[in-house]
Amino acid sequence: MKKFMKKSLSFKISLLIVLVSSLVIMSIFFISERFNKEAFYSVELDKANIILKTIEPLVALDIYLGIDTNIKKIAQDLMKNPNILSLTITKDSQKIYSIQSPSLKQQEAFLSVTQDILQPNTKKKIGTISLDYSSQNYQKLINNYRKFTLILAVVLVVLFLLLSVYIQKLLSPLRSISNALKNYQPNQEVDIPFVEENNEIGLISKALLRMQKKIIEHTKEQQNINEDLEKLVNIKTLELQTQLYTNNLTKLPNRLSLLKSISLLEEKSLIIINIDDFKEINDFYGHAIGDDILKQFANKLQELTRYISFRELTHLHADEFALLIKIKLSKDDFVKIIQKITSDIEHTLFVSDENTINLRITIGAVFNDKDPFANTLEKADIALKLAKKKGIPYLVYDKNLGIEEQYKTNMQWVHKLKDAFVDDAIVPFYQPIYDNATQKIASCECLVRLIDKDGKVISPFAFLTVAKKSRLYTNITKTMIQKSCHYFKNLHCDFSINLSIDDMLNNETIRYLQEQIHYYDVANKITIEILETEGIENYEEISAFLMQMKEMGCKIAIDDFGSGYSSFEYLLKLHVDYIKIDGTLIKNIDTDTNSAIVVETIVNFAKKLGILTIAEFVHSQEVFEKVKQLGVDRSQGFYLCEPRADIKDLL
Amino acid sequence: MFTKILLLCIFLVHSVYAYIYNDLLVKTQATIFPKIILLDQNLSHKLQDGTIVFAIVYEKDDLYMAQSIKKMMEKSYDHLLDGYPFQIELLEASQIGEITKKVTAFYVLHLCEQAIVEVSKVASSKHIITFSYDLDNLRKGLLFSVAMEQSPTFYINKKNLYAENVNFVPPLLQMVTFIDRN
Repeated sequence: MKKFMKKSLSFKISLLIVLVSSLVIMSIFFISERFNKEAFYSVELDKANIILKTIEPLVALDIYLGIDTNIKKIAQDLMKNPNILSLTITKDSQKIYSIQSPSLKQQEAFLSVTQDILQPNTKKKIGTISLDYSSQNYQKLINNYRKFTLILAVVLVVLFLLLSVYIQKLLSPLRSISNALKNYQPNQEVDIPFVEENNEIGLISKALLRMQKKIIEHTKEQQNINEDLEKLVNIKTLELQTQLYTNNLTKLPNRLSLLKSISLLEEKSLIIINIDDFKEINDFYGHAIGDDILKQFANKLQELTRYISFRELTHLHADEFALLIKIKLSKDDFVKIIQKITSDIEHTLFVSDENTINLRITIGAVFNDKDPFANTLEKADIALKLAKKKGIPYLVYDKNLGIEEQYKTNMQWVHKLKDAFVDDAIVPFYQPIYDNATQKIASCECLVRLIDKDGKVISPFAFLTVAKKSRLYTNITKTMIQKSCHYFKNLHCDFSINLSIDDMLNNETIRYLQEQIHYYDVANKITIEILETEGIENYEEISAFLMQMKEMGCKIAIDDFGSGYSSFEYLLKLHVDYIKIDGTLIKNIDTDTNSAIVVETIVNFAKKLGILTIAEFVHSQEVFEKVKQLGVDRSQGFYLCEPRADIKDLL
Repeated sequence: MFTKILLLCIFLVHSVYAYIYNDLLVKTQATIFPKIILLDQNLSHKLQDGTIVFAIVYEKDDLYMAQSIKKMMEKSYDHLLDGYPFQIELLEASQIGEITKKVTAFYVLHLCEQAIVEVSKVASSKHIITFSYDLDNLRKGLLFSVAMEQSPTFYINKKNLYAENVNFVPPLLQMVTFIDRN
């Protein structure tokens, strides 16, 4: 097929004509031969029938009149016809006459016809005439027909061959035109042949010539357009580059520009200036004024740093600017620059739309840094965050601050936590809470532990902060909920789990907690411990959550009670079941009279409200005796039992 | 003895006056003529109450011959011709003008010329098919005759076909020899 597609058009047309014509001729030949054979046969049969029909009345009359001699005469006359091979006449099923031609035996095939003999007056059948008729004429007709069709086929083949040659000749100009256009170039004029001819080829050539002229014109126009476009693209590229490296608001170079500049310097000093609480300005005065203030701030910074040689002031984002100093400075000069910026900004009043705004800034800086470009900005950023954390106006990055180590440690903990989830190494430990009256286990607190790869048990103080920052905290809570509910499902012991305010505000965590409580059927065993030390800002939502849990049958406890500010208010509003008195009040209660007074007050207050009290951090016999003496209902601490992975043997 | 001689004489006298007939021809004609009647497509108009009436016309001297022909035909057809009742009558030539009943065909034996003319007139006027023993009588006005040549050969007086209102089946007309009166 591929080879056929590559053949010339004239070849394809000729071949198709020959193929289609051959097919049509052959079909016509075979169909007509079949019909003609039938027709020839029918003609010969008709002849035989006509003969019989012709003689039948005479024979009928002779039989009717009983003149047998006449019948014989008719038959003998008939046999003079060389095509008639035999004749048989019967009367009332009795053969009355039969005659055969000597040539009958030489015939391979013949036609046999029979005719009824009818009485002339009544048309009643009185006998039959049978005739064998020679098929020689039929064969002769067939042979003649075949000869004729063969000659016709040969003539047609010759005609088609001539037609093919003629088509090839007709289409050959197309090949010449194609050759002429083979190496055509838009900017080069080609001599197209057959333009003068007055036929379709001439029309094609003329059309190609016109097209060529238009292409040349268009190419010229295109060249001009291209040149214009190139200029335009260059201008736009420049604009884009400017936009890429410039902040749209302040028109200062942006972060990309800073990074590019840093990358070109071996030694550089960088100051990041962050406007404190700029979000509040935006929220309070609106973004239009905020933007205006930023522009003024940018101008002010430019003004303040103008005296510094080889400096680059950039606008990193919203409220953060950077000053890159490209020359080597002394540490004192560098600090002086920072202090001057801080001081001048604090003494500047920015006015926008009749609003006078005083800005404060925090600066993070890196001095004569030789690290690759990315680290310089990172270091200054770290210094800025640390300054913000410490609440100081500026901080210059120093390796001795240990900031990097802290970051590394945090990253390691994130990895450890992720591995722990994969290895199922986040597990609950259970610490019993004893009833001071009965000295028996009243319930257990579920405490999270991480088992590291060496099998060492790690307490949550090491990883909870990192978990919160890395958004793994929710997964830890979910793991604790699932494993604790599963553990106490079949134990006759109450248990408590700790939930942070974030957990209680997280719909996903709440839904999961409720599902697990239903699934393990532990609603009457579980106590939700709220960390009292955390301020409850979303009081309505927390209260609604606690009400839901109480309706399910769960109990509520306030953890670390006594360490916060609004402890008694919570007791009244949240309808808690337990108060867990903060460890700082308990650990020295045997010697610290003030602690004892506070605990006694809490216990009395709780008793009046019908709330049970639990003393945490009971670490000695003396402390245990004291809390019992003060009327605390339950105790928990290392003195009584350390947290452990399994407490079934104690129950 | 005298009586015997007398009867012999009478017979001989009678035989002298009677015509001579070819037995084979008479037999052939007696067999064929009734069948020829059936080949007339106007036969239905020539029936006497549905009966084919075949009258043998003879001279007084040929009575015996006529009677023998009648017997022969009655024996052959037994009063039935292809489903039609078939009645054979003897009719003396002198009485030809007196016939009142409808006759289908006359079989005319040897008659004098005047009698033949008379028979021909009656046949034409009453559309009666006429068969003749003697072929020559066709030229005198009779219609159909058979002669014994190599095989039986049929002759028709073409003019009388119309006169006697005869419409024979075409195959018969194909095999007959037509005789012109002139």
